[in-house]
Amino acid sequence: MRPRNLRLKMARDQDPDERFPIAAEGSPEQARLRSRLSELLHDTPYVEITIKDFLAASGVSEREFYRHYGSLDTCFTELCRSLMQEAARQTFAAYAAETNWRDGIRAQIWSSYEFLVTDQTRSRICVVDVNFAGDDLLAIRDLFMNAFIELVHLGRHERATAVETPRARAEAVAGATWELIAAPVRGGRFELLIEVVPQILYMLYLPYLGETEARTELKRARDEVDRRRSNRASLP
Amino acid sequence: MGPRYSRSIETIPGQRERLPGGEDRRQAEMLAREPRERILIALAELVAKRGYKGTSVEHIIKRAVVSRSTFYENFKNREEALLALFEQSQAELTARIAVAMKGAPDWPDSVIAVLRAFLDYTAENPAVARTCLVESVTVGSAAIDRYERAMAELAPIFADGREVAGKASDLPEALEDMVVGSVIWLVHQRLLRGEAKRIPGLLPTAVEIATSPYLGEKQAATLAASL
Repeated sequence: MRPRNLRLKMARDQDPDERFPIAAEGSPEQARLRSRLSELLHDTPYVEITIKDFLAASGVSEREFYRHYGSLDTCFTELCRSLMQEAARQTFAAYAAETNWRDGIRAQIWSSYEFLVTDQTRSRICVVDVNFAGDDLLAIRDLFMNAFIELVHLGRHERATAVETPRARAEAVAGATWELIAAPVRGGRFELLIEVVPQILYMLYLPYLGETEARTELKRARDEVDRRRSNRASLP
Repeated sequence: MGPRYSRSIETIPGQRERLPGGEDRRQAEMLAREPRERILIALAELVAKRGYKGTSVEHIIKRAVVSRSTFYENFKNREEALLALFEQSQAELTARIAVAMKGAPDWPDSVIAVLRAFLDYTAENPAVARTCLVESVTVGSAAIDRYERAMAELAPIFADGREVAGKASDLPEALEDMVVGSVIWLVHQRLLRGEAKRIPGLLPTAVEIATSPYLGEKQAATLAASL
């Protein structure tokens, strides 16, 4: 049975501040250290950065660093947490701004694309580097994924059928979305991301809207890709 | 394949029955294997439990009952050992899939056979599966490349469904990558939660995901329900 006032329920259920424990802003010194780490990450993957590298590049003394953070992993975890929270706010807000699930999913995926291409270092941190800092960070990533899965799973109300689409289906298509996005980001091939958007939308819609509508959305998204490319080409 | 005991054990009557129990038995069984195999088994068990970051060479040599020099005679470092484990398990899985596909009369049956082989292998080898599917992406770029290659090797199996669909040009180019990604994610999550035993139960969902873009939702659902 379709919940009443679905939109409000969805928006409330996906409040990023509820889903992601807000990282304490911390002291200005901690913020400064996170900012310096972020700068280092422009050129070097996190897995290759040692505490010595960080101290040398940032000009911070070992004593000063350990006054604020217990380890480089802790500093990095806080940095990632803030970035993922930013991602959640932006993309879930895009979803909640729409009045129905179909438009909401479309808006969210395009918002995710915008988030990824706007700042490539930030994207690499959220998608690739996040794997290298331990279980706390992976737990935050999984919180993000579970929130996305819940949104996708709301699609089960779209069909006028007695057959319930299991949550595992939403898990599966959300996982496929992650893999399709992760591969170009890992390879630094951000120009490929726009091509995967229509394919992601097709896969997300297929279990809930059926093949005909999924193909309609695939074409619609491809047209949008062409429009964006055309707009970009016409820029001076 | 079961543990191989040295000939000296086999020639002493009753020695097998006198093997110690518990951890001592595990160690005795481990010692019956070649050092390289012991290292890979120990690596899989430890990485699955502690994560790659939390697993040192010290941990590995202790569990594998080998010396440090023996470890480095076999592998340059932990990463090389993990890549070797990946190659070995990939070869085992590929062989298993090849056998499973032999008797399949048509494409939907091939898909069922492949997915069943994959899910069963994963459930039977949870430590290896967790190390390869969950932890490998935390190791470094070489391991990530290996992981992506393994995914890419599975995709063509599903691509034959495009002929069945008869509308191959309308389907997304990366459809097979998404099908593989879907199944891998489901397995990944069960491994993460320590629910390896539930993995074979994913077969109907996995078959429906893999066949619905090609056969249509109704036929895919019927096929999944028959399993």
